[in-house]
Amino acid sequence: MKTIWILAVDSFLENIWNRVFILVAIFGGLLIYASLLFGVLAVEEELRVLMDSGLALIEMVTLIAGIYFSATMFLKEIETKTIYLVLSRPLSRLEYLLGRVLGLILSLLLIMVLMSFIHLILLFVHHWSWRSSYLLSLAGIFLKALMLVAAAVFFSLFSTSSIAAIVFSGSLWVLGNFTQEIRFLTQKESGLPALLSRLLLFLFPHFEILNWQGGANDTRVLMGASYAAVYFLIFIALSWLVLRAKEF
Amino acid sequence: MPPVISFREATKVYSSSHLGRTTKKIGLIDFSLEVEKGEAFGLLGLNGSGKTTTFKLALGLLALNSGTVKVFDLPPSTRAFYSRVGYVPELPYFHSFLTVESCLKFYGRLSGLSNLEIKTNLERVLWETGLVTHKEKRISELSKGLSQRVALAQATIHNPDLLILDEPMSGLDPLAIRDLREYLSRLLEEGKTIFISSHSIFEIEKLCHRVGVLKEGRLIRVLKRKDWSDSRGGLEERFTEIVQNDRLTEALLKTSPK
Repeated sequence: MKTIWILAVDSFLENIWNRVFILVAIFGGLLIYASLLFGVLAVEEELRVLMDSGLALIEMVTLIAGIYFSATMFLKEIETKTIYLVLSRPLSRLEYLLGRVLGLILSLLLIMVLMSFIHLILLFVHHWSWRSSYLLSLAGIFLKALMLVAAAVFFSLFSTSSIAAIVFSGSLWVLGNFTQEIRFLTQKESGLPALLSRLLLFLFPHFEILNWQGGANDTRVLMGASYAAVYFLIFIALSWLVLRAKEF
Repeated sequence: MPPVISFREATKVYSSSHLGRTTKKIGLIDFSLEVEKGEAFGLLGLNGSGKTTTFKLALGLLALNSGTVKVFDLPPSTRAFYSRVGYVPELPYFHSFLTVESCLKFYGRLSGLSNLEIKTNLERVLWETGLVTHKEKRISELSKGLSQRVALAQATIHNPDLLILDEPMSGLDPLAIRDLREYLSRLLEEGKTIFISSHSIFEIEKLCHRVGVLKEGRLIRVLKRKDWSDSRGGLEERFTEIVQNDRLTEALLKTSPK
């Protein structure tokens, strides 16, 4: 456990040093620009649009950062040979994987906290009153990020280029947002194509389960969180199987 | 006492597939070698001869196709094994934002050292590698020579019994090379075992007790110190002679009628 934490802190610090603040600065700039733009709308509309666009931006930046960090992390470590220095220490590959993934998750959490802070300041400036559903929305975004991180890590262990891993993970993100539409299409098919479509549909992340912006009851939250946790654990387990046999 | 490193008929073939076509490349073939405790064993060879592959196999970073490799009589994958080995890859990278001290502490912690052990060992390696006055500098501020010292310091922070060094002199200036050689000689005096590769034949000649010549994945000759100390041209002449003779034999075999 200690080793996992040491690796996690190392990844976290590296991400902060290299990239996190640039992303947050971009987010802050975009959000402030959007808020000025929405200033021309009516008061009620402005708040609603600011809330929705802010959360959408938080989701987009978190997921892009999650995909990018996860898809490049291992390949960068191999390229710079840092992985040799770590794997030639008394630690298991599972500890290595969990440490790096935990570092990524901590980095994403920090990004989300900073972005939400900027967002909340803007909302309060526009006389918004606090609602706990805001936290629920963030939790949904965070769980989506966890799912994508696990999938992107898995793809990156297969790929020899970061671009391929980013494309795979990015496609999964896009498809994950259209599962209802894909499901509708599969219902129109029959036979083998339908079977294949259903199988693929099963593999895609169902992000709609985690869209809690409008609020969600306990059952929905519990179901969504459990689904995200299982999806995350399956991809981490698969990544571990690949990493265990991987040569460097 | 079993040898520190033992390869027996080790073969490694790299396979890569692209568009359904599999390409195979020999990394190491029928490689047998034993390195004893307290010995400095050097690997010499042209680029792509299998030096790095040998080290990676000894570290368990690659898997063998056939044969065996044991280090301290253990397969190279156990925690007990890794806590006794220090590794310096060729041109390693360290996070540029870390200071020398924080970088070494990180590798000390990863090696399972307690805080007290890290404190004691850190002082020792900083002193031994001449990094004391640079400990608060960021990695990004270091010259190539100083970075290489950090690489050596991270490999020795946990006081390992075996050091595996892949081209540790690469890119160093003559003074840095001399310091490195002196440091390695001190480690040998302490009873450590060193498994090293370098293109600097002169340095290998001074440091090593034995040298293995690799060519296209084959260990074609193992030389003892007296084999080159008796030769007027030293190890360089012996190495050139062995590689060229091997090329000649190969050419003759190819052209001879079957």
